[in-house]
Formats: sequence, structure tokens, C-alpha cells
Amino acid sequence: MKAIAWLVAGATLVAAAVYTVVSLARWEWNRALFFAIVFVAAEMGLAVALVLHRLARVEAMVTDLPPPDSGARRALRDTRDEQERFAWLRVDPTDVVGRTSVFITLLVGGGVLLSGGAWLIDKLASSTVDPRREQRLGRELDAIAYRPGLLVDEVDVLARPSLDRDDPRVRSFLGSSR
Amino acid sequence: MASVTLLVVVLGGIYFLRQATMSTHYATGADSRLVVVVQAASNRAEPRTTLHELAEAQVSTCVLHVASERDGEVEPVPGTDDRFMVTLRPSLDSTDRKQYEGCVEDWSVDHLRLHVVSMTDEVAR
Repeated sequence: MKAIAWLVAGATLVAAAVYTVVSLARWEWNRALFFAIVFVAAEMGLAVALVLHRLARVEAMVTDLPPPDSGARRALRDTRDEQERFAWLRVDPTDVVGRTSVFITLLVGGGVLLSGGAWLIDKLASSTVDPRREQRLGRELDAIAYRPGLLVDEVDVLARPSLDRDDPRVRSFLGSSR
Repeated sequence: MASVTLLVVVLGGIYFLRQATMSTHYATGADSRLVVVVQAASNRAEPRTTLHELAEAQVSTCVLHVASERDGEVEPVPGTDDRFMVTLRPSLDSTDRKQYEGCVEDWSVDHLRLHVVSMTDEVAR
């Protein structure tokens, strides 16, 4: 059946090519176009069939290949170093001294985690004090600061051995406090 | 010997292709005429379209491809149902004859096939 299909396709290709040339020689353009289309279609069909045929052959060759467990891979697998991973997690119930391995690891790890947390908190805290916040705080402190010229308070005045009543600031303070 | 044979075949092929494909035009005389008789056949044409109309359409269109004009109407050949004749003036040179015949026998009009029966030079009256 496949041979018949190949034969028909090949015959179509040849016949279409011949008729295209003959039609061109006879000045029959529409016929030439028609046969040229048939030629191209047959050519494409044959090309695709040929590619698929080759692919099928390659697929069959790959299928027939021996399994990938070759001698080299077997030798590699046999000579591979069997590492015991996470050996420190394994606890020997009879080994009392060696039981601290996990504890030490957790201790160190916890220390690292705590240090990281402290570092993070420190960074967050330092970020809360910035120039803008300081400026706002300065404005608030300025609002409640002593007015200019008022340099003494009641405690200082009374603590003096003798009041200097000629001092206008003292007179002003005493006058306002009465 | 083989190389000589191959050379002769190649040169002969080139000469044949040249003769078959190269256009050569020459004057045929202003009063010369060519009577073309075609045989028409149609398949599944439109019901109202006659074979005469189909043949006239293709024969007249193909006149546009050559250096000539239709002299008169496309008329049925007396005594036949499927043959029609048209007169071209002036007559066609050899290349135009090939081109006209190819155009007439080409698949240009749907449901119609024409075959050139004869191309006869008519003596000027």
C-alpha cells in the first residue's frame, strides 16, 4: 500500500511537471498555473512523507537501542562514594556524650536568629528618628521654651541672699507674680 | 565519443528550446485575414448561457492578446452545433498563432473547453 502511494505521488509529480512545461510552451497560462500548483502540492506531499519516513526510521533506531544502563554507568554507580548526609542528626541512644550535637547546632542557630532579630529591631528603631521628626520635635520644644529675657525663675530669686530690686527683670518677675 | 554526443544533444536541445519558445513577429499584411474555426464543449454551464455565448466570450478575449482584431461576429459553422468561426484581421504571424491557439484552448472561461479545429488564411477580396 505504501509503495502504491509513493508511486502515485511520484507519477503525479512527474506528470504535473511535464504538463506545466507543455502548457507553457503552448501559451496556456491557466493550465500551466494549475499544473504548477499540482506539482508543488505533490512535491510538498512527497517531501513531508520523506521526512516522516526518516523520522520513523530514527525512532525505530532509538527504540532498538540497548537500555541506557551501560557498563560505564554501572561502574560509576558502583564506585560512587556513599556519603551519609545529615549524619549529625542521627542520635545514638547509647552514646550519651554525642547527644549534644543537635543541641549545639540549635544553640548556635538560635543565636544567629536572635542576632538577626536584634539587628532588625535596631534598624527599625533607628529609622524612626529622622531629620523630619527631629525638626518637628524642635518646633514643639520651642513652643514651650522660656520667652527671651526671662532667665530667672522663682526659686533662683528667693535663693539669692539679697534681692537686687534694681534689676528690671527681677522687678518685672516679682510684679507679675504678685 | 560520448562527450561529442552529449555536446550535440545539448546544443540540439538549446536550439529546439529556442525555436519553441522565442517569439518572432513579422508583418502579415493589413488586408490579410485569418479564419479560425473552434469546436466548443461545455459541462454544467449556467442554464441561460449558451454555448455560442461562451465561445464568443473566450474567442473575443483572446483577440486582445495578439496584434489583430475581430472582423465580424463569431458565427456558428453552418450545419454544426458546436463549431464556431471567427475572422481576424490582419492575419497572425506564427508566434501570434501559437499564442492565440493557446489562449483559445486554455481554461479561461468556466464550464467551457475550446479546441482550435483550423486556422486558414483567407485571400483578400
